[in-house]
Amino acid sequence: MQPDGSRTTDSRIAELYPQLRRLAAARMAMERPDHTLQPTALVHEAWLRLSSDRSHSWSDGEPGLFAAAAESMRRVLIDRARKHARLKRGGDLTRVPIEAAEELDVTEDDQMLLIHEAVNRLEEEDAVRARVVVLKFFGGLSNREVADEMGLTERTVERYWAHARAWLYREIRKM
Amino acid sequence: MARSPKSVLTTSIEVEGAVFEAALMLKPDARREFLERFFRDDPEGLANMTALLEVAGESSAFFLEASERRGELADEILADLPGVPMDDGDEPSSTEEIGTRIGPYRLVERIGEGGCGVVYEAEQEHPVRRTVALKVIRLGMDTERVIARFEAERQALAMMDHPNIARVYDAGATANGRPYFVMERVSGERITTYCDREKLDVRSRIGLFIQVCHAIQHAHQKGVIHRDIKPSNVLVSREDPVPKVIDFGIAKATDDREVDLHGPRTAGDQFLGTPPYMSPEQVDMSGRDVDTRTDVYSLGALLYEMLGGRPPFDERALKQAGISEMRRILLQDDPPVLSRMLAALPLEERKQIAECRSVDADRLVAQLRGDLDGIVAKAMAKDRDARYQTVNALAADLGRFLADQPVIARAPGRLYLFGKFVRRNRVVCALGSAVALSLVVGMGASTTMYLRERDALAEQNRLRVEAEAARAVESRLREQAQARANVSQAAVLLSEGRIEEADALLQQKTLETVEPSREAAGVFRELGNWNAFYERWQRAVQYYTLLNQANRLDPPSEIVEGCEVMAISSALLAYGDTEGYDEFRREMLDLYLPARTSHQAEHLLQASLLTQADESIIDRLHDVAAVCEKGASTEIESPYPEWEAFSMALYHHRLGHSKAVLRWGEQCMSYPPETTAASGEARIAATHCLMAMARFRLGERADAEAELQKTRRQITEGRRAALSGKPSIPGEWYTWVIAQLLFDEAHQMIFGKPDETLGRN
Repeated sequence: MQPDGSRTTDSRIAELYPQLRRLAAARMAMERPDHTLQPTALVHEAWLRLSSDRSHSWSDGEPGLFAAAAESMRRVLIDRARKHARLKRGGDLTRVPIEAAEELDVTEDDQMLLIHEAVNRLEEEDAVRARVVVLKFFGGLSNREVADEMGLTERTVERYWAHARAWLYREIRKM
Repeated sequence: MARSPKSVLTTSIEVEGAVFEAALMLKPDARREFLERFFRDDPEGLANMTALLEVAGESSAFFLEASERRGELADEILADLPGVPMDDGDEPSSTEEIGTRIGPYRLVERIGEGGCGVVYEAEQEHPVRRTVALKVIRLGMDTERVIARFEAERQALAMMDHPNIARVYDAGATANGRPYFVMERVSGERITTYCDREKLDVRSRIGLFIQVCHAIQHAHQKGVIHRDIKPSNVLVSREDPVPKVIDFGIAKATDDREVDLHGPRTAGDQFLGTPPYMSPEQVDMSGRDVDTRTDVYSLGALLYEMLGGRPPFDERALKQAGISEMRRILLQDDPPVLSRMLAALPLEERKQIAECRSVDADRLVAQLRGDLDGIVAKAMAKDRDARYQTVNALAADLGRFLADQPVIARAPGRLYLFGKFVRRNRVVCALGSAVALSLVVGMGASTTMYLRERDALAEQNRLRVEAEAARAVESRLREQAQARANVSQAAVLLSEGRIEEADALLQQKTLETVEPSREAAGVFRELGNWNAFYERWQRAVQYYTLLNQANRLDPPSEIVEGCEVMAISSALLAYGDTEGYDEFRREMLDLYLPARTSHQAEHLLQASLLTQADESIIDRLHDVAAVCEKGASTEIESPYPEWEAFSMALYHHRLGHSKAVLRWGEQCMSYPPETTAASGEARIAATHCLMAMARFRLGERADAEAELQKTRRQITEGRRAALSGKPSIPGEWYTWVIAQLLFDEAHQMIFGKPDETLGRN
């Protein structure tokens, strides 16, 4: 079922545990007392442990440690979103008639899939910005971590992210 | 195969990124200009970039929302994992142990938990022994930047010294890397809770709120914007019932979207704040700068809740709407009108709210309806140019409400339709374009190099542009805030009759940085009049020029009904600025024609015909004269028939119709001087001058000379008498100026030389 045929066994996913925890924790932002929307209060200890303990990692300390993890994360997240989409529509995605599809609200699952597809397009245009998006959005990395990973300044990461975000959203609106 | 530079420029995503970023920093007008210049022969590129810029804010919201979904999915996946403990301590505990030492502070007690962190009471031993409040922020990643931003504002924070502001002492990082802030320990409850428990009535609540305004205004004068004003940040203690504003500087330090020294912010990944109290520009996320008027908005929201018992937007509904929808609501929807919101509540709730305000429910709705509805709505206007421009102006309007005086907020609100603020922004726009232009030129000249080393070059360019822009934004914001504060202060001084101090205050700062507003117009009007009365023409003209700009905010008919046009005209001529006068009268005709009433017509004729006018002006006044004549000739009630007659005489004088001048002059004189309280003598004198010139033109030289000689004494004595009075009514001084101007003109005509005996300033 996987697009690139790679396995996503439970054990494989289990290795992504710290990252998944981190993304899940970020969501808690909306559920704080005082109804205050928080900054994505990322739980960074897990990542720090991961980066300091490279023997534990999937890529054995090669550069691009986070990149590999972020791609894996992207895969499992998109798998999960697809599963939802199939369940909701009671079958294959392609069978929904166009008129009906247009009337559907963009569900949150679709939102993930749309982003995924737009990132594929961005990869063709500009691999660097696409990587920033994958690391930040699917990997949940901070600007600092993306900067370290890619050898850019933090400011550059911020700029690429702001631009890429608008670019992706414009693409998504065209879809 | 070489591609043309143009296609290279417009196809490279790197350049798109640079242009995108530069454009985001510019205000709408400058942005349009910049884009049109950059994409001169490339409509497609322009359309693409415009679309990209339009979605900048929405895209932030979209991705924030998507990240919520991402978290849910991650949670689900985790829940499906067999054999993995759900809570194994990966997440560090969000509280610190009591007794722990953080820097020089020892935690004594946990006293609260807010959205953004946990607050402790702590003991400080060095260098002073005191009890403080220590707030540990739940952020995670950017501790260093939070602290760096705090340090950047530390000096300004230290300068704040106000009984209603809790001091912020220090910031640092805890052992596990979280930022913390140390503040004056304030024990108390939220201002809203306090008011309800004490059952304060509406007036006492407003009194308390005005104190909050003074605290915020003090901070603004020191260059500090709060950014997170809400009930939980304004505390009142039972023992000492004065409100204290806490958390100054913290919102800025923890806001990732903030402009910092590295350049303008990009819309961030984080959504910080409390939605019902957040200003549209904070919610927008497309990179607009935040200024002091953000606090005016949040104060409006606080007042809304203090008076009406509910926040302006329903918190739960906002939360459920999701980020994109919440952004849309806060950007587009006005909150329900205060009194209507209350009236629409179920009876039980309404009763309860009213009881906390010591009135019955119907009475409360009636108290809020009208002025208070208007004040709250004006403070919370979506367009920050339509809000009170300073916190003081808001406080002053509430003061007027308490004193049963008419409030500014009730004035009609549709004044902002025509982009009237272009003038105010002209300097800023020009600056923005210059910065943007330097970016474009830099790119064009080095296309080849750009392609080879595009990252390096783009980086350099960007750094320069960013540094310049950040500096410009920063100093402009400070200047504008200062100027606004000065105008408000001047308004307060004027209301207390301290005119000289108000004048001195505005003179010491650059008047030009003051943005046009109604409040500013009032201040300029009064100070212009005051200076003109004492014949300080240069200053008077300075104020009147600004008044003339600010007046464009008001409907033209209201301006012409007032006597300002005559005051401005005569001040310009008394100062000797004939060119300025000519410009003014042409602009006046552009703006205010056609005349709708004989009263307007009379003012327009008088103000535009104080000196010889060419045909282009005379022609445009033809219809105006017809309206004026009708008013002066018919028996219908006209408030100032004597002035209509005078204006007709003046009009015919400019046309060279001497007989008509005599006819209208006689009619004007038939109204005794007492008819017009302050300026009757001057009117008669001015009419004599017109009639002397008419007689001279008709060949009655001796009569003309005699008539003019008589007038000379009248004017000298009249002006002297007027000067010994009080500078309250503008009509008096400017009518004497008009008489003087016409006398000079007549003297030149009849004797062929200027008069030397009559002193001119």
